[in-house]
Amino acid sequence: MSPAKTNRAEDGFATRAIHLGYDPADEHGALSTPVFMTSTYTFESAEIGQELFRGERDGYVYGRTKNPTQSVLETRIASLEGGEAAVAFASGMGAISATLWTLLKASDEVLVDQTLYGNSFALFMRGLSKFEVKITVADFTDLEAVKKALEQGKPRLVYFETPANPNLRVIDIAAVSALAHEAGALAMVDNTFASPALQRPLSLGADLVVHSATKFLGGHGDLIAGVLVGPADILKQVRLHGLRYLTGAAIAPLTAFLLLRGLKTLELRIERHSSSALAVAQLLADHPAVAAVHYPGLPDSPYHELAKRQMSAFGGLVSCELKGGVEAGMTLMNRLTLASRAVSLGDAETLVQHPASMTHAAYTPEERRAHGIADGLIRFSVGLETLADIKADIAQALDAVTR
Amino acid sequence: MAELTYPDALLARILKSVNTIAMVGASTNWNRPSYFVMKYLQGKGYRVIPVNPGAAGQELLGETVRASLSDIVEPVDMVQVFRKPEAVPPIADEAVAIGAKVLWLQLGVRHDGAAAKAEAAGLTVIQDRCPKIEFGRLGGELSWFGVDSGIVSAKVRRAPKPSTRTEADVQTGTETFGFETRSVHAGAAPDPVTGARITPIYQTASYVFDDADQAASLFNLHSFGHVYSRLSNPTVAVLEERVANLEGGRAGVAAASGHAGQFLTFFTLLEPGDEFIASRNLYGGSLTQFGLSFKKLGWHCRFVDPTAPENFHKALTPKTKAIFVESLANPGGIVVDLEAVARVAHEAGIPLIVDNTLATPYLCQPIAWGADIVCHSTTKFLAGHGNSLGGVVVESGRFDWGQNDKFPSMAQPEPAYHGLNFYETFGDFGFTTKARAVALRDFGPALSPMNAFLSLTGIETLPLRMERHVANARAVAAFLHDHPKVEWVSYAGLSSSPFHDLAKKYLPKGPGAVFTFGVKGGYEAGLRAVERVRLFSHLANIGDTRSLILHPASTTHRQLSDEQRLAAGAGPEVVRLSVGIETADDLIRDLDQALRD
Repeated sequence: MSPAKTNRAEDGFATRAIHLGYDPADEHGALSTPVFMTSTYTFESAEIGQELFRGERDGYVYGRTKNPTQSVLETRIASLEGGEAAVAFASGMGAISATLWTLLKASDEVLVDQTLYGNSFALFMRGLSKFEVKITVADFTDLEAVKKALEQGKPRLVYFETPANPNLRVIDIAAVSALAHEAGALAMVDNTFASPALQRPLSLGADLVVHSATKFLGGHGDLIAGVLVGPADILKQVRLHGLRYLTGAAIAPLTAFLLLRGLKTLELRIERHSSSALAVAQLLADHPAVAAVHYPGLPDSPYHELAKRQMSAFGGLVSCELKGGVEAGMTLMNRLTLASRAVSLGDAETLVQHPASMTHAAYTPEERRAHGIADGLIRFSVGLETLADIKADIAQALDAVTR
Repeated sequence: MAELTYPDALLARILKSVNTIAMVGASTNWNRPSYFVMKYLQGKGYRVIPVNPGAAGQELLGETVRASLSDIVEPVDMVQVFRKPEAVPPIADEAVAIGAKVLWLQLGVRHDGAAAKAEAAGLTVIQDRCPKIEFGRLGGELSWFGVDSGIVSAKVRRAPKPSTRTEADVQTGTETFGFETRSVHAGAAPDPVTGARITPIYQTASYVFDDADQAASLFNLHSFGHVYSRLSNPTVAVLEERVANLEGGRAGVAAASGHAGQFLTFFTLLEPGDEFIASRNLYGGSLTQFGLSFKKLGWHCRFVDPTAPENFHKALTPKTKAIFVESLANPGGIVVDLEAVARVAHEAGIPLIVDNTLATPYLCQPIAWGADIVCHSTTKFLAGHGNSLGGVVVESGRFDWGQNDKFPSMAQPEPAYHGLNFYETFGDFGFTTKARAVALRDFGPALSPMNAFLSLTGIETLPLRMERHVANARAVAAFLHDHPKVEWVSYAGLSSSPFHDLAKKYLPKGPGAVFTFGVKGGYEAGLRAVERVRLFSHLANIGDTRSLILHPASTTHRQLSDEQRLAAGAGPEVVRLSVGIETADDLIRDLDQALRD
């Protein structure tokens, strides 16, 4: 590989998203990265095999820890997030759990924000706590509360999402990371909602960034994957322990290939997702049936100034609560004809879902109340369709609710 | 005659409310459309009573043939007419007399006077439509043949069965969705069994038949369905419908490559000894296919300079069966006056075929300017990521194949299908059906489901990518135009281009992202530029997310003489670019350092 050609850190985001980490000269000139559908790799000699197993030599041993298609993806995503290294996984939950299993042991403490994706919440509260990892919850939008929680315990890790799923709360990455470091903890951020095209937590002081790559990174709703980005030494540990024998959550080569395809249009897509989501948020805010809209791009959002500081646009997710509560939300969802009722997000298609009964059903009703997830909340992942069509679909469904 | 349009909601309401249909003109010949339409409708749950005085009293598909409508004692909901237009008025009067609620005249049958009279008597009248086709379109079966259903919706498609009466069951189309929406949705619907949102990759060779009778119907093209993936495949069909929809066409058929698509097109149009006229400014591979390989099959191509539309007129002979042009010609810079060339073709009673690969339907809509067939190498901008080969041929549905005797393959009985007449049976999607049923079946250049899948996800971002491709191409062209080492730039987006006005008319959103420029210093300087670039990839393709560069004189056009190279626009100093969607400044910086001393 000729580094001068494919590893230019000074290149623009889109250029790196398309080129970085792959040189066709290595692969018969094939311009598109090959899909290496192989589970195992031959060793040139028994000695080389031994060196590979001892970790004295870099190379491919077995598909569960590394694959050439996956390596191109990892190099590219590490650069886009501004990190030293990346590891790809079979899912976002695979990435989170492999990381936590690697970094934590019984009696360790973790401090988490009060709003997390339902299954991340379940992993912390129901999964890790079974193994005597202590989980503390705080409202991370309140920096005093974070400070207090850090003083009271000795967390090894601080974990949050921003914007948070599903209510789009925005957390000050630089401030929380600084507090974590003062307390000797690592700051880990789920950057799924923003993607590196809009927000790069590592540049703001975070230590680790995790993604459900299924969403905006893949962009077409046709794969399940996760990635972790951060310092090379931690990432190596996660690959050799968390991935290799703790979870085995290996990404499929074809999935890595599809993700590489998705990254090529990430910047273009996220620009459109963001501009359309802002328009949808405004439409919702102006409609009499809507009680509240959560979107950091709206000027009257309590998170607007912070979001402007740490994001270059506000992303494709919008949530709202209707005056008619849960029942009105169900009517709204059933009336939509262009938007699909489905979980997941970041697809080309507009998707709509009801967190209390779907993505966040792992929370008990009491927990949802305590964590600020309203029962009537409806979440839109605004797609790439013609904006007028998306708006017309939502407007007619809202009108049906009002009638 | 004014074009007939019927809202999908109306057709769906009729097909759901009707139970008993009287079919006037039902034939006892198993390979006549009336016979297999009757059989199809019976299979969907309708009772069909045949009416035909010539066969009165005979048994037909389990029903006794009646001599006239007045011989039917049962209540009739709908009268369907399979007769010549001049026979319609007395049948319409009888339909009124027996109290039918709907009068439906078959595809190709229209009588506005009789229709108006029946409507005045309170009947709902549909003319020039086939109930089998409309039923199949609304329920999604027609999409299996790559026909544009016009339906854009995130809901599972369900047929308007007479037994189910709820409004929500039927998906109805609308023409009002934007290009971006259709790029994401057209042709696709959630999987009816699992709800999977993304079109599955149907990596299967063949398909199980319900029973022997259904199998026979499928082989005879009497009903819609998949037999074998060389002919049709559910993943491939979604791609066919999507491209047909984006081009504003009636139906599409996919092939393993753009070249394969062109072969299917000409095999369906031409007989040995026939001729066609093509622009001389074509992709080099097309020049070879038309000029050399087709000769072996007895097809003769005359090449003309496309910049003067009268050149096509001058090249016409009685044997000419088509005109072929590229909307935006490869290697770029030349825009063909599509409207004027379409006029030449239509005055001669032959179709205009447009290769829209370089422009894509986002930038140019050839069918709106009169094209009858549109060809694509989907490998390029449509799929867009340089990861899958493919071709799609789209028909407008507007060409009258029966207007002269030039197209026996379309408008005369086909021996390969027991004498089926494709134009009569399939009407405005007869051409792609014929291309599929004969050329694709017998020559086999089928598109793989995996490639169709990748092309579909590519098309989802077509509008976004094309905007950026064009913006970057404009920036790069402007930079080169002012560069001291550059002799000339041939990009229709530059106001200095002789094609600037045509580009504004036919490519309002921009003249694409492929163009050529001349480097000062000739052959050596051109070669040096392509060797010195670091971000541009030196290779022979176009329409990738990545920027690509080529020096035709030393690669694709190497075998030609100096004179031939000049005529083909591949002189020694010529460099071709396909501008990608990277950061524009990076591309400019790369070219700048490559051109520097």
